[in-house]
Amino acid sequence: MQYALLALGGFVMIFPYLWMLSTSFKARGTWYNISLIPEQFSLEHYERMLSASLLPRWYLNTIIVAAIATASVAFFSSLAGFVFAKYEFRGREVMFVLILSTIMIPTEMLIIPWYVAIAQIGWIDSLVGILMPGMLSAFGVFVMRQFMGNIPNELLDAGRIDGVSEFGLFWRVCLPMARPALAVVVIFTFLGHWNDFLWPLIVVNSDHMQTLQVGLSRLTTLETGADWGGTMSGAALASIPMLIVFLFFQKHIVRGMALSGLKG
Amino acid sequence: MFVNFSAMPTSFLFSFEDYVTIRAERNFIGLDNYTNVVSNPSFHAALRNTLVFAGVRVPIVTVLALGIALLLHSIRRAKGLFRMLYFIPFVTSGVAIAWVFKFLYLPNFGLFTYIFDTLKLPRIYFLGDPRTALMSIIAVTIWAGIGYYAIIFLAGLEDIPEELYEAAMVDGASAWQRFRKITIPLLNRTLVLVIVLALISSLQSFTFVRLMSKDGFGGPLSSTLTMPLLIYKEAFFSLQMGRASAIAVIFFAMVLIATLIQRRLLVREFEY
Repeated sequence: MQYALLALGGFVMIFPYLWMLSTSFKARGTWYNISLIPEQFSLEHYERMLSASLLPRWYLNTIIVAAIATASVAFFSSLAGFVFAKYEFRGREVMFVLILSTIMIPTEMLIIPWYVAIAQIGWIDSLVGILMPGMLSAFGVFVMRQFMGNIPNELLDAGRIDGVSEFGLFWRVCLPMARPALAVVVIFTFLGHWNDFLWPLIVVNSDHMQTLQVGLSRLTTLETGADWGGTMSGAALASIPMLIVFLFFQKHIVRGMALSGLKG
Repeated sequence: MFVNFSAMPTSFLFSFEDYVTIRAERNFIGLDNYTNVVSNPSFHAALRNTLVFAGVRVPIVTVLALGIALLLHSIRRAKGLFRMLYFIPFVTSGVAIAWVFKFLYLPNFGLFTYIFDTLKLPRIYFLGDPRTALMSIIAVTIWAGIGYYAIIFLAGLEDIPEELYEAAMVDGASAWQRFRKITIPLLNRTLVLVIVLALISSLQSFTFVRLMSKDGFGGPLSSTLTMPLLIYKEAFFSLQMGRASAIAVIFFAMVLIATLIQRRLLVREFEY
C-alpha cells in the first residue's frame, strides 16, 4: 500500500524529466507527437545547442563563478565558524545573532543596493559583479560553528602545548575534523550558485557573460531552432550536471540538512 | 555579510528619494514613494497574488510533504531510492523546471491539454487564462518544493523514539491517536520550521513567475504579478529605483511579520 502510493508520487516527480529528455531527442519538427519514445531518435538539438548558442561559454562562466564563490565561502565560513566556536570575546553572541539574522533578509530587498554599489565600482556585466554578493554566507558560518563547537577544547590545548600556532589549530586540527560539515557547505553553495537566477539576471547584460541559467532563460529562436526539442535539450543540459553531482553526494546533502539544525 | 548589513539601510534610504537610474540628480522626497506605491493598481495586484500564492501553497505543500515523509518513514526497502526521487527537483534549476512545465502546459499541443482531451474534460488554457495562470504556477512550485520539505520532516520523524509508539500500542492507542498524540506534538519544531521555510519561499516567488507568466511580467492581466517581480520590473525596466526600494521595504516588512507571527503562534515546547 505504502509502496503503491510512493510509486505513484514518484512517477509524478520523475515524469517531467522523462518528458524533457524524450522531447529533446525527438527529431526536428516532431515535438508535438504525444509519445514518450521518440519515433526518430536524433541528437540534432544537442548539436545545435552546443554549436550555435553560447552554451559552452555559459558553462564556463557558471563554473568559474560557482567555484570561486564556493572556495571563498568554504574558507571564510570555516574560519569564522572556528572563531565563534572556540574563542571567548566580548560581543560574540551579538555578532553571531546579527550574522544569522541576515539569512532573514530576502534577496529582493538587497538587489537594488547591490546593483547601485556594483554599478558605481564599474563591475556591471562582469564575472566579478556576479560573484561579489555571494562571497560570504551566513548559512555557512552557522553550519561550521555548530560543528566545530563539538570538537573538544582539550584537543586544541594539547596542540597549543605542542607549539601549534592559532591558525595552525584551525587549519591542521579543526578543519580536517570538520570535513563532513565542510562538504555540506561546499555542496550547498555550489548548487546555489549553479542555479542562481535573480542576481545574475540583473547584473549581466551581454550574451557572452551570462551564466548558464540566465542564458537559457533568454534562448532565442535561432538557438532553439524554433523547436521545443531545442528548448528541452537546453533544459536537460542545464540540469543534468547537478543531478549527477546529487547522485554522488546524496548522503552528504541529506545529512547536511540535518546538520544545519534543520532537524529542529 | 558586511555588504548585506550596509545594503539594508541603503534600501531604506533609497525608498525616500526620487531616484531614477538614468538621472544623476537625487532628492529627498519623504514618503512620496510610499503613497505613490500604495495607490498603484499593480501594487494591489502584486500584493494580492503574493498573499494568494503563500496562502494556497504553504498548507498544500506542508500536508503533502508530511504525508510523503510518513510514507517514507514507514517503509524499509528502497527508502533511499524513493527519497531520491522526491528530492530531485531541489537540485534542478528553476529555469529548466519552468521550461519543462511551460511545455507541458502548452495550449493545443501540450501534454496536459492532450490528457484533458482524452478524458473528455473541458479544455483549460493554463497559463493563458487569468483565472488559472496563478494556480498553474503555484502547482509547479508545489511539485518542485515537496521533496525538500519531506526530507526535513523525515529527519524529524527519525528523531522520535520508537519506544513511545510501542508503549502507545501496548495501551491500545489507534494509529490516528498515535499520530495526533505523539507524532504531531513531537514534530512541532520541525513543523514550524517547514511552514516558515515554505512561507518565505512562497513570498519570494520570482523565477517561475518571471519565466512562466505570459509576458514575463505577471501576465495575463497582472494575474501572476508577485511582489518580487514588481520590484524587479520597477527597478530594472521602469528604472524607478526609489519606488522599487519602497516596495522592497514593504515586502521585507511582510516577510518579517509573517515569520514572527508564525513563530509566536506555532511554537510549543513539549517534553516527554
